[in-house]
Amino acid sequence: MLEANKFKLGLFVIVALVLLISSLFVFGLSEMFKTSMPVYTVFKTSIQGLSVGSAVKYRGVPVGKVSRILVRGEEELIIVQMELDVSVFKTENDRQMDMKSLNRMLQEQMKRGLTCGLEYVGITGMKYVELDYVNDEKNFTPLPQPDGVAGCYIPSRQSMFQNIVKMINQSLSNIASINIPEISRELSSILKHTNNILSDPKITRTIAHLEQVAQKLDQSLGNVNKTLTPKKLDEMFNLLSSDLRNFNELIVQVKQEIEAAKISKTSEAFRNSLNSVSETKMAIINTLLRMDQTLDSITELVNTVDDDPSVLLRGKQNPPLTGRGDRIKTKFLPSSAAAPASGGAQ
Amino acid sequence: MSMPFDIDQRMEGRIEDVGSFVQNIVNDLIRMVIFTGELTLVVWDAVRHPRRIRRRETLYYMDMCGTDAVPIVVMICILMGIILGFQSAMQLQKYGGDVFIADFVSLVIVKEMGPLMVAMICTGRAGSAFAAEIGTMKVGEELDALRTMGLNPVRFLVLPKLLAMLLVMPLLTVFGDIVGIFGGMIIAVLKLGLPVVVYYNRATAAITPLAFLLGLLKSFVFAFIITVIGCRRGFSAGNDAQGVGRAATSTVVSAIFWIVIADFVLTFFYSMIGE
Amino acid sequence: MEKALPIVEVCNLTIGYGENIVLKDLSFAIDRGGICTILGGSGCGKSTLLKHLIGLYRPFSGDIMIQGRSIVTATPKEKDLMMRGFGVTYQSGALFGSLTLLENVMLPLEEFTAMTRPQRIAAAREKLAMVELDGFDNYYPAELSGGMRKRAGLARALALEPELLFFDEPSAGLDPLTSADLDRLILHLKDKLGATFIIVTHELDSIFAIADRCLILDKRTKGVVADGDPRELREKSANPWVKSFLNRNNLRYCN
Repeated sequence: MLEANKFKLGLFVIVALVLLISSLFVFGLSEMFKTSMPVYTVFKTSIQGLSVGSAVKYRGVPVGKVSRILVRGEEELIIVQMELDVSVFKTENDRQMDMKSLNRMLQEQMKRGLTCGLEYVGITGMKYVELDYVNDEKNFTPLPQPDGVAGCYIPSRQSMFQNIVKMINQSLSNIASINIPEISRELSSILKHTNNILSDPKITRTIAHLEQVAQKLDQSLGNVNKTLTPKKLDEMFNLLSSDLRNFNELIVQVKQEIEAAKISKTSEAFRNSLNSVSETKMAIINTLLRMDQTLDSITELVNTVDDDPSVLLRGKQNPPLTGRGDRIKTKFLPSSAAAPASGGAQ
Repeated sequence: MSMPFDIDQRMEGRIEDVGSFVQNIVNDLIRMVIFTGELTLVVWDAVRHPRRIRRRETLYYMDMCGTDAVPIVVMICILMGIILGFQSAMQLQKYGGDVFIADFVSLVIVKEMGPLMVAMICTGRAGSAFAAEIGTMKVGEELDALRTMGLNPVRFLVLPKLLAMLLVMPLLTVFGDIVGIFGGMIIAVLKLGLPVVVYYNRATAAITPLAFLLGLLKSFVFAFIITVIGCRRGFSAGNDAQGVGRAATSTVVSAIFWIVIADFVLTFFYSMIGE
Repeated sequence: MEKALPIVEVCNLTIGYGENIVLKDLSFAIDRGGICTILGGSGCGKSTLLKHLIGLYRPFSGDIMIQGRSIVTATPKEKDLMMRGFGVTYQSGALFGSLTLLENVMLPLEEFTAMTRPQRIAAAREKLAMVELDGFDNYYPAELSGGMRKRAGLARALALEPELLFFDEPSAGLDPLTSADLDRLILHLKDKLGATFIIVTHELDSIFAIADRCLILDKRTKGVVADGDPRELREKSANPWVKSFLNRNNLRYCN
């Protein structure tokens, strides 16, 4: 009655213990047996969202964890210490890297611009440390290495989001430097000129004359139609020749009058001013186009995020979704190049 | 005319009710502490003389409270995982945080629901059984018999149950945890279309060994509470059949109450050490 | 010598439940050997007295000496030791339902003797044979009749071969024949073991059959109203209540 079913009990205990130990290993106890390499970086800006235990990734591949975050008040520095899992790094022939070679590799990569940046994990506002390369090495000035911290120093860079903000600021300052008052002043003077020319009394008269001529021609044609007989042809030719003579005189007169109005000079000036207007307009269009592109990209980013916010969450680590994340990033790159270009057009 | 008087009297009655309720809880707590002290002495004695532990009873209770509870634990915990998965999937989908279902379900199961559900099941199965068993023994004068035989009823009756529960409940919780996480995976895969590997990776990344062990520690504490309350209610059962029934009922009620209190305290304590 | 040290001595004992005093200022002594019965009407406190004698309850005042030592002032450890010195058989046997008869009887041996397992089994079988239960080794208490359970309880009480045996209502719930069997068994054991029996009962048949001495308790006076040989008391008691109590149920003793 009080006898335990020993087989059942034994089976239960064994299965439970096996599950316990294996799940402990699965949940990360195995990390205790991994060799890790201490590295650290320094930030002068806020690291909001980063905490001890946050992931460290090399271009999206998890390679370690944040182990400690220190604040050095007097230097206004935030020191982030990390542990890199050495076993992730392999040599060319797929062999395990040791600490020394990993250190050498990191030093080499740092010369090529390897830096630490903070990227968002997702909508949660949590961040991770992304090891990646800076875009323009020439403009990059790393923070100086602080002393008294153990491990390999990897300088920090600004994050993608900081870059976006920077780009937008640049575009806005470019737009701000366009001299809109002057352009409008020029335009108004051109319009005034044109107005003057059109309101010249001689030109008005010439136009009236031209109208009369056209009327006469009309009459003539009517006459021709009515009296298309050989008898009348002579008369008609006479009339025609006198008409033509009149017309000739008129043209000479018009020429003279146009000469007198110096129309060629005016039109030249007009042409010049139109040219300059169109140039300015082109410059504005260019700038606005670039702006538009930038905004388009942002809109697209917002739309993509709106449609499927998990794009942000999944970041780079989820292969099927990586394409989307990358597209957002690459979309931004030409627009960042466009921002200085619009400045150049100015 | 008589209305205010009635109200006064009723109010007085209410206040008295509240007072006696609090007094009961305090008295119960004091007796529980005394009983725990007694039990501690017995456990200390058992530690010093492990051969005096009644092995056969311990194994029997391990079998009864552990092995026999596996099916119900598995069923309840897998359903718990599914329920948590469903609820979190609906919320997380709104924000596109589908992947986080793994984090949410596995952490909630490992930290809270696993130990709690196992504790509830064990309260219903083992706690009430302990109370009824000891209560019946009391009615049948078996407790007196033990005492006059010079045998300490606490050592004789409670220690095997306590040891069995302490050993078995964390193990049951291991089952419950794993099965609960699996339940969440069912929803993640079927409802959210998340690949199994993604769920697995996220779940294993979310759970730290420490969180897992602290969850098991919770069930260890719960095992203690269930055994102590069940046995104590049995010892203080009335000398009739109804007394045994009442002992079993009040075991379940107060064990659940104290489990929740202990869970709160432990969760608070865990949050202070950052887990 | 023997007279100087009674096996049970009660001095000025006052007992009760909660605030109710059941028995007041009780004093008596029971000598070694023989069968002493404690009887009285329902609710007079005879079972309560027994539970005090065996150290389960703590009296309001007074002292109980078992084999010369106080069970009231004893420390828990001393009390445990003293309790091993006597056996108690309860109304319903109080066997442990989770153990077989043999295990029930072996339990005290397991806990308190250095015997090997075969020795324990042999000793337990012997005790079961003593109460005429040989062959029921592997039965569980639930499978036995009431009389068998009481006998098994007696066997367990005998396991450590005590000099003093308490018996709570041996005949309660038994038919007259089984009850008479049990009485015969008690007499047989008394002769065989030479132990002292203290029996709480109100079964007059039993009392006249086995008792050497009886203590009669009264609810009204909360004390002992009569003390002596039951047969003598029945005939010669000065107290009419005692006389009628001993005669009431059994008219065949009245001429």
